Amino acid sequence: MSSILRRQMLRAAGSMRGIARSQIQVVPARLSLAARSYTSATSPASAAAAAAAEAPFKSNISTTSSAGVSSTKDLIINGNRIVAGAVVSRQPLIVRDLTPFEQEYFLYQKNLERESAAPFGAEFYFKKGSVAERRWKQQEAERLASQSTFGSSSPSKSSKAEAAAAGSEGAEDEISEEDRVAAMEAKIEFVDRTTEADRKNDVRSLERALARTLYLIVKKPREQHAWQFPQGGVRVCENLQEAAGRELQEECGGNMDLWFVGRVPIGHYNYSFPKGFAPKTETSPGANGAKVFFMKAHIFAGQVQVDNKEIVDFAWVTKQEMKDYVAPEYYEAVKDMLSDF
Amino acid sequence: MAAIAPSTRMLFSHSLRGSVVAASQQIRLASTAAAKKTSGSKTSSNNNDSTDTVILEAKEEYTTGISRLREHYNHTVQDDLMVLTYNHTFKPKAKIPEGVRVELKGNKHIKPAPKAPSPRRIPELVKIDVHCMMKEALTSKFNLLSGFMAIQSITGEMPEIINSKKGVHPWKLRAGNPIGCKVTLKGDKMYQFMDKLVEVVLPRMKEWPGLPESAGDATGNIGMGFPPSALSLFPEIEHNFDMFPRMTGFHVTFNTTASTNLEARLLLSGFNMPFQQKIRSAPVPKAAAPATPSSIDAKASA
Repeated sequence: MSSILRRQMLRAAGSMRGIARSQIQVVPARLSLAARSYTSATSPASAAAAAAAEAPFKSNISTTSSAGVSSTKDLIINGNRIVAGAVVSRQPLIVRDLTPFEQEYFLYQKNLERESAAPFGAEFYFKKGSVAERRWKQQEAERLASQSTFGSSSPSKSSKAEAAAAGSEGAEDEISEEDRVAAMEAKIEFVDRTTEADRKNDVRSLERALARTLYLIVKKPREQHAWQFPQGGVRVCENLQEAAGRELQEECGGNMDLWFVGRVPIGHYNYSFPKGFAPKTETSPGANGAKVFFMKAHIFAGQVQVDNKEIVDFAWVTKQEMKDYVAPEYYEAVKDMLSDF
Repeated sequence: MAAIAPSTRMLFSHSLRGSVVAASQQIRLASTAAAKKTSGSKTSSNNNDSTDTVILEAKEEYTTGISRLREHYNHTVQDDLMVLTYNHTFKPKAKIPEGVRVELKGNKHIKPAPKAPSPRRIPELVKIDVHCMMKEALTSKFNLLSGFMAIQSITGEMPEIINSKKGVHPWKLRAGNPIGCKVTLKGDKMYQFMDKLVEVVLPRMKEWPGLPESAGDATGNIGMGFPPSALSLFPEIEHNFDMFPRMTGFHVTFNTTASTNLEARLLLSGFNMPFQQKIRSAPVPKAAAPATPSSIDAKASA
């Protein structure tokens, strides 16, 4: 836990600066437990590649005290090779889509709330005769006119609307000032909820399915079980988190800013090796199966780099899409630790 | 009334209806109640005062949209908290049989026994209390209005006037005088306030280093105080700064269902609340190997 807090502090300066970003971003960015959310790099591929060349991102992988001892021997317990897998997820970046029912419900509740709300002291909040006051009155009049059908329209309300309309009438002579103020105000442009990657169905992009949690799966150059989470054998004198981090570094390159959620696995998966398959007998003798422990991680920046040796392809997919990629028994084993949202 | 700042006076003269009137009524009522209490004359003639009160608070809670932070909690923070705080080696404490007297060491409170970890017992934010006390209200209760309106502006809820329970003579404080106000936020409004705090206000508090690592009262609540200058960082106050004659400091308490400080801090850090890090001295390396940041990490957390 203290590692989070520590990380938090390291990132405190970043989050202070982050305010500018969050103001620019119209799409509300999700927060993360490590005080950051996944952010797309300002310039996509070239900057990322350059960053990767200069210095790889660090993650919160902590080493055990015996980390100085390096051994390439695989860890085998009870005839099972111990394997660490990494469930790297990108959190949702925008809030989910509302169902038509929800939209109606929220609108109804909003109207109810307005009906029962305390009267707004416009005299307090707006200076008399200011542009802001006039604009507010105008907006209020429009709102009341559009909602006159809602609920029981009391006579006081309609008179209020008339008064507001009358107030906005005598505003003809100050249009130039209004234009000036409007020009000074920043224009808000709403970004589309579906991105370019969504339209092209580019599963390698991290900017797809913004409202969903995405998971990283990689493809290995083989026929059976080609698609799965990045994983690799745990070595002797290595903990699961280190092993998962090392394997990610080896398979997916160092150009990912990761944060591991704790040092405890979130799930496991057992399988026995097929007959006649001898996995690296010199490093792991006597193993007839493997036990995969999955470690949870979040990605905040960066992207996977395919080296075409260990992995040939990768995809960022939602839980439901993963079903089409991985083997059915594999999906059955991992589906319960993945988020439905 | 002459002592009231010009804007406060304007506030009285211009707003014929609205929350300001209700606020002043509340203050006036509070003081009459106090006067009744102190004089000890409980006459029924003053009772019709209460019938004139404008009750402006919304009676019901309305859900007018999905809350961003609530969604974030449900989809991301909750899952991560489960992984981070799950106790895999939990053993329930032996129950103390009836009739056995438990001797306490010193005057420490008895803590409730830790409960078994469960997906239903993941720490959650329950409510946020915003509270301010204004010394200026000692001289005139109308000085409280500025703070009252400020708290109302930043929270979107009608505050409740707090009267002093005791009189303190050296401070010229009499029992029953209105001295502060508070708001309890729950549900969507709570998440909105939290959102505003972590996205807009806290990043702009330049000298603030973040919540200390020791934050928390050991029962899952975390409190923090804000200086008067922080009030002007709220967007609602910022655009109307001239209307508030007196800036006031205030306290914010986060109430969570966490049972330890650690869980409460984890939860708040999940909402992007900055925490400061105690700078620890690097451990002396045993071998000649240089102390890399990761090894310091491991030592410190071990």
